[in-house]
Amino acid sequence: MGISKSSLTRLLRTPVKTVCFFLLLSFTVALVCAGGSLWKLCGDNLERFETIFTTIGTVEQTPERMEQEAVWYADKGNYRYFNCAVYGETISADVLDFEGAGYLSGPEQRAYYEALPQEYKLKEDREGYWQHMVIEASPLEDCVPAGPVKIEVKKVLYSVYPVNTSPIYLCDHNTEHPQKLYADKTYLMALGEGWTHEWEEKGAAAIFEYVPVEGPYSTQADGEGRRLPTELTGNWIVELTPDFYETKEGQNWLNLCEEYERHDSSNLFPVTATQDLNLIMAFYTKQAYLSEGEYFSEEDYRQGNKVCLVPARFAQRNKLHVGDSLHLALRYANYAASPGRGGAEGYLNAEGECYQVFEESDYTIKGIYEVGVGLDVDWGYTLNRNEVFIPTASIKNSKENNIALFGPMEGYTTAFRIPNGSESIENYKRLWEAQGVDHVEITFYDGGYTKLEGGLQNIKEMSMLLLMTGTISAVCIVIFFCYLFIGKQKRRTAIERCLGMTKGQCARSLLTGIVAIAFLGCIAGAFAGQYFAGTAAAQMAFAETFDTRFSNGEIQFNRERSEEEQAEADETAANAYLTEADWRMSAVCGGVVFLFTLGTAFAGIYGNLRLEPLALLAGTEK
Amino acid sequence: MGKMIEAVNVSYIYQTKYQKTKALSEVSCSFERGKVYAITGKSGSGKSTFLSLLAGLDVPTEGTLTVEGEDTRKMNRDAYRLNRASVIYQAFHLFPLLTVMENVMFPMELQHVPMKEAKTRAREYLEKVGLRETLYKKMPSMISGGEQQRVAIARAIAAGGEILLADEPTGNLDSQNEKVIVELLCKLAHEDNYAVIVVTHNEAVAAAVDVVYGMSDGSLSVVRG
Repeated sequence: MGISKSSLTRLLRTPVKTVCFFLLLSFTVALVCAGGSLWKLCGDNLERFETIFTTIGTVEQTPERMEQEAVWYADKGNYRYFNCAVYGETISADVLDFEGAGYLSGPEQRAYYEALPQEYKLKEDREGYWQHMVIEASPLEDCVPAGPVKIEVKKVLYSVYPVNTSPIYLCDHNTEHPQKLYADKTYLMALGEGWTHEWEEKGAAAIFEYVPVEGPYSTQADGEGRRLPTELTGNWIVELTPDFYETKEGQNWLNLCEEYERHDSSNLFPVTATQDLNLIMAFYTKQAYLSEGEYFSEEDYRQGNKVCLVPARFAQRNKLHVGDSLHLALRYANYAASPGRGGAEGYLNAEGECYQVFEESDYTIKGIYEVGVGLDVDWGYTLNRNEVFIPTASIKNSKENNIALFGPMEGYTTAFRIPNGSESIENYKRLWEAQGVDHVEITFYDGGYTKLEGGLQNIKEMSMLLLMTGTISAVCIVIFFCYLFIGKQKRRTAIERCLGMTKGQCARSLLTGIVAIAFLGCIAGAFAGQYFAGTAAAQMAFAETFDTRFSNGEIQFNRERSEEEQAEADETAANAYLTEADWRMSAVCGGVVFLFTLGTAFAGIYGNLRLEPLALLAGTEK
Repeated sequence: MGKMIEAVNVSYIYQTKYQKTKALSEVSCSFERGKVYAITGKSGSGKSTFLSLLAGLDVPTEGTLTVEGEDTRKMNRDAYRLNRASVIYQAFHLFPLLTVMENVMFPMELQHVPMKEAKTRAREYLEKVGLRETLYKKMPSMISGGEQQRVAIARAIAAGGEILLADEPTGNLDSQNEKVIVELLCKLAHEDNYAVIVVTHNEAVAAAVDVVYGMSDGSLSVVRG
């Protein structure tokens, strides 16, 4: 029986004390490890969610007031009233540039551009377009088109669909007192498909009619967003004179027809330039998600690489794949609307001319995206079916002369990204309020990060409490049992010294047993703590209700899925939460407690060895 | 017969932060094999301190203490205690969690004697001190005081040394057991050639030994030579 074996034998002959030490040490180590692991796990999860989640703010200029707008309805013979928002002076997105805002990207008031390549197919057929046309026509008789009047189509300058019938009905539907038309005159007029309405006179059957649409007009703005002065009135009708098309006004009408042709012949598509796809709600919410290729990299955004993301159907129709080239010729920018919401811009510039291409390049398709079902949000946020995305910095030429429309900031055009967390949002709000800008509303979207962060912080605090409780308990237990196993063994050490054992052998004799038990206790406790932390984390993950739809990860929500896809998505969502406690943390915690035990034991042994053996052993044992 | 242990002008001073106490003052004496020595004196006279020096647990502050000519200051005192000098105590000081047999085997294990041989030798020593085999597997707390002291003697001689130091070995025993232990110590000296040094203030014990030294205030004198 060697010194170590003898030490163990003696330890095992005090089973109650030994088992108590083992169990209590295991328990406290388990507490320490569980606390430590949970604490680290919460930290890791916060760090992970920091990268998965994004926080964006959308910015909207709010109207100064609402007014009622009266619109004449010829079929009712009366006015109908609509609420109309009246905005003050357009507020520039520059107001969002203030110190301390801490933007990760943006703020940007996005423009979308009309791109003009001829060779791409955007739609399978031409069904579903709204019929409108520019025609030369004369009334069959002198009339006032306050109701349906017959006009004879003499010449079609532009029409979405062929005009096969003549005469057609015209009604200046929204004008209470329309101008009189004369049968002996020919008029150039811009008309759109109206609606069937029952004309009250003589109980006539429903009549299909055309109504005026705007003639040549311009909404061109300068680089500051100010509307440029123009002579274009937008009047829908003009009397033709023999040399009308030679005049500036006539040329404007011809330009309008040319522009209509471009817009309706399925070869124009919107291109949105952004500094960060997360700022686009459809991507932020994962309604739009990548089906092939990659998203833009930081470098793409920073260096303005000529790369683009195209919608899947667009790619399919044009047999485009990731890595292929897409030719983009950008003509004009619209800052007021989103491509999904559509235009309102005048097609001609302030001079009455068509906009010319200002940026033309080949872009490499970096990714192809799909769009799921729509969100329950303003339809301005929905994407155009042919919308192509490019990095803002990839547009190298100035678009100053090609701004077709500028308007107030809207949630779907203006956004920014800030760091995650309630602190960041609160800080932003505080600084923003200090700017004192009225009529601008900022809405934050964090995908539930703040709630999640709060929950995790609470758990982190609990873990710290557990860690501290465990540590204090471990210290007390180790000191107590070291006293029992070592401090109270002074006489044993003295006997061993008198029997000729060296100080080292005496130390080994005392240490072996306690170290063995402490080692086993720490290992058992570390495993138990690891298991407990893992279980608690798994429970926490299931209990915690959070919305990962707004994550940057691969989690794709809010679209129709097969059962397999749903199962996969659920698994991915569950995986978003780290539930496996880091064994290294348990190892460190267990190791620290073990080292503390070792240190305390050494201190006790040192105390034992300092005593004079014979003095201790002399006399009667009490 | 030559001197086994010789003390020449041995002094020992206990020194604390605040005071110095001279526990031994120029002690000179010698001890031979085959004899039983008694050191008598009142409590605090320096008996235990002298025994501590004889056991190699400490060294004199002044003077020299030699064992077969070797100065205790220069020798490996741990090896000395392990192989040459053993101590028995008034309170027996057996390991309470080891059996009688294991207690006796303990010094041999320190000497790396093979287990089987250690067991055989332990059995011999236990027989020598007159203990029945039925006691070998018992814990010290389960046997009487006299039996415990005999186990302590068996453990002391198990190391195979030649010096046996005893600090009030009969202090906790009744007169019958006292007699047995004294006889045992004398037998070890006279038959097995041990140098046995007993610190005691028991007159009966002192009467049974070969040489008696008296100690008073740290000074040693021969009472009966």
